[in-house]
Amino acid sequence: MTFAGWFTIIAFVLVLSVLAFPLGTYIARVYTGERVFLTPIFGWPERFLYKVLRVDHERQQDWKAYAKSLIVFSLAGWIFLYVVLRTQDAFFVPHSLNPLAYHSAPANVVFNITSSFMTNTNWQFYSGETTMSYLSQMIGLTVQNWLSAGVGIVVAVALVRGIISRSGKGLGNFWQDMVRTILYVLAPLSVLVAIVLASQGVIANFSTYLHVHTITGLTQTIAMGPVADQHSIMLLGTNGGGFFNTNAAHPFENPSQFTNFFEMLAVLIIPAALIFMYGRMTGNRRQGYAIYATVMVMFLGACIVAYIAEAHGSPAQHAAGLHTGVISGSGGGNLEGKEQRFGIAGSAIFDVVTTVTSCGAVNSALESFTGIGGAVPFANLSAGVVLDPPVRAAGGLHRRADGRTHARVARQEARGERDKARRPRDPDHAPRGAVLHGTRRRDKSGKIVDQRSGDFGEARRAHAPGVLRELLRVSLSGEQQRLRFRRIHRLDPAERRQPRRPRHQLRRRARRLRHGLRALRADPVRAGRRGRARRQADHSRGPRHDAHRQPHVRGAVDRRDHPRRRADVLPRPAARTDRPGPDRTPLLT
Amino acid sequence: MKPWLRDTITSIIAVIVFAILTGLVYPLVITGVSQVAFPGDANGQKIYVDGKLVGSKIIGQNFGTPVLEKNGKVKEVKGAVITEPDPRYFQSRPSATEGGADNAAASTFSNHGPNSVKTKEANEENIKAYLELNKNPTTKAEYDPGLSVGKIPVDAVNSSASGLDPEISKANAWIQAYRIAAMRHLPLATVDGLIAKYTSGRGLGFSGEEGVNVLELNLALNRLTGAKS
Repeated sequence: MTFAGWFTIIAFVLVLSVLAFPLGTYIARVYTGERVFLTPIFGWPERFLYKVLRVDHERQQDWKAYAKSLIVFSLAGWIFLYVVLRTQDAFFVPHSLNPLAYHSAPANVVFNITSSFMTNTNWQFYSGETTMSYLSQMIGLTVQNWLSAGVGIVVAVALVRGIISRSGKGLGNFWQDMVRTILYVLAPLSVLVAIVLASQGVIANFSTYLHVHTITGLTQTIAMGPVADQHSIMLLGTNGGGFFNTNAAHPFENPSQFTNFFEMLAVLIIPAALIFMYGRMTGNRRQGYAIYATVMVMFLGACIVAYIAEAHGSPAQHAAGLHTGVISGSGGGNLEGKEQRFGIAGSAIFDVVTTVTSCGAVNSALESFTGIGGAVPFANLSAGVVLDPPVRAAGGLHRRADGRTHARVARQEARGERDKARRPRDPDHAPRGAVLHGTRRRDKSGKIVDQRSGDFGEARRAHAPGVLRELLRVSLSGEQQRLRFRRIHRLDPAERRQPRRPRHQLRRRARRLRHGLRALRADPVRAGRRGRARRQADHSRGPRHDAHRQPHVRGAVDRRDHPRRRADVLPRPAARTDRPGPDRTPLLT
Repeated sequence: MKPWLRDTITSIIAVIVFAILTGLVYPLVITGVSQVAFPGDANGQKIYVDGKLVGSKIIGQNFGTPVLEKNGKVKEVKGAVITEPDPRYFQSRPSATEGGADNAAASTFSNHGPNSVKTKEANEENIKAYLELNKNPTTKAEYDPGLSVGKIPVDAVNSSASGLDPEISKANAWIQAYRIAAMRHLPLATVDGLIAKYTSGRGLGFSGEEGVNVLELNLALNRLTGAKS
């Protein structure tokens, strides 16, 4: 373990957080339809795409329509990729895009590749440089890298919208989200990352494989290809299917110490930004921070464990007599299946990064990790992926026990709809008195109106117009009235002389339409604690047996507080000693 | 139009449109920009000596010579040329690629487990080969007087992840420097100077490990001693 190794972990988390926060804000603005700085550039292509796709992007979809669009789209992508990979050596593929004239992989292999790329699994069931033509890499795998990443992000956004809206009707429009994801989120980042990588030595060309005569008289064939573009989107979309067999360990995909750090950032930047996006879109940024902090703590823990384990070295090394400590000029550790330029820390963090996001881009051989070091990525994978967008959003779901989201979740769409199924939030005595018992009543036309599932306000207005205001006063309990008056007494003497003030406090005029329906609230702090206020509030919690309505007057006077009390031991007749014992004569003698 | 039919038509159009955008336009733009802006990097940092391509700067090579059979033919096993390390050159890290070490047409790693006997045996074999290489064949003494099993840096024994690691650790290079200096009749300080010259630093000052580029180092040695490749 070296200072530089530890510093890399800390620096990575800091840089990631600093970059992810503004990106999260940006992404939230994109999905809420606000104007962003890229709107002037991508505004008309966006509208053009809607026109080409012939979709009405303003049309809101409910979850079923959204899911239907998503599934059909994914299926179309599946078929497209399958056809591309199976016709790799067909006559219409130009020779320059299949320079080594690779045949198509067998149907079962292509089925496997296609399915895993469509689902963003990107299980690399092939060796890129010995299987795939340049055309397959581009129009096949790269396209699916974009689309499956887009679908993943879109699902996360729809889930966040589902949490916000609660009605399930306003999940947005799948096609709009997809177009926006690709244009506003993935495209700028992907081009940026690809150009930076290309400037650092990631190759981008269409030349044939190089044939080299080395200085010692051997020959070497070096695989080439358009790597930078695919590698960039593969990292950003947490896809993981590399251009070459060894993925991000290959010097043409990850050429230097700097690119290793840069690529780790590219993998985590969007998942981390989506957490901040969640906080922003739900209007509860602090929840976003809390989730982010939790995830980062888990991430840091995984990094630390993996780094320590790998730096310690493997049993096989120790058995062979190797010294695995840090010496001058060498970082030591378990370097089997790791590259010298990344070192132990760079490899350990990279593999934590890639497993917390289900990315799968690896820069070292996980099989060769030590027992504990390998357990960390394995645990990340089996824990269902800490930072993957859909799972993460679900992790941020906070609901009350009765299924409602917290009232703090602001910016709710369709505010008018949102409270339809809700029972009154306040200890609301008045409607109880007004509607009396029973939950179902008939309105004027004879239709049954369900008190709980229907529109509460409408039902009340239909059944007890005018009555409520009277009942409102009647149902104030003594305690509440005392509270009101106590507040009056607390007024300064100068204020007490103002005759209008106390009356104003007692009877509030209806400021909104429904305001008159609400009961005066007791002092909230005390009301939560007082036994009587709590019990009255409990009345609104659904049907109970009639006897439960007045618990404080039910039962005998001396047992009111202990309704089920029984005598522990009642007198019994004494045990009889004259009875014979049980017959235990043996059956077989 | 039925909703599912509309979705299907839209999906087909969308896949085609996105395929053109992200599968043709995007790779061509990136490749084009890279070819114009960074032609050297985008084409694999090729190194030419006297007009002949001798390799890529960032792809590791096997600095060995082919083993000849008694009849003068190159010895091959399953199409892979058997080589022995050339002591006049710095040697790259062990490579697990098929078809000979550092096969840049089919990168792969060893996939040796941490607790496996196979890994231990491979390590022992590499240690033995490394000690053998850095030993004077006539006097049977190590070139580096302090060299022992415990002093060998891990990167000289463990195979790399890509099988194409272009770099070795400085400690590894320092040990091999004794051999190179003796074989090429150079002062040790000159070789160490070259090592320092071709060492890549940590990214941003902290990321990764320092490494010595073997191909560049060997080419510099050739230039210095005037040896032909």
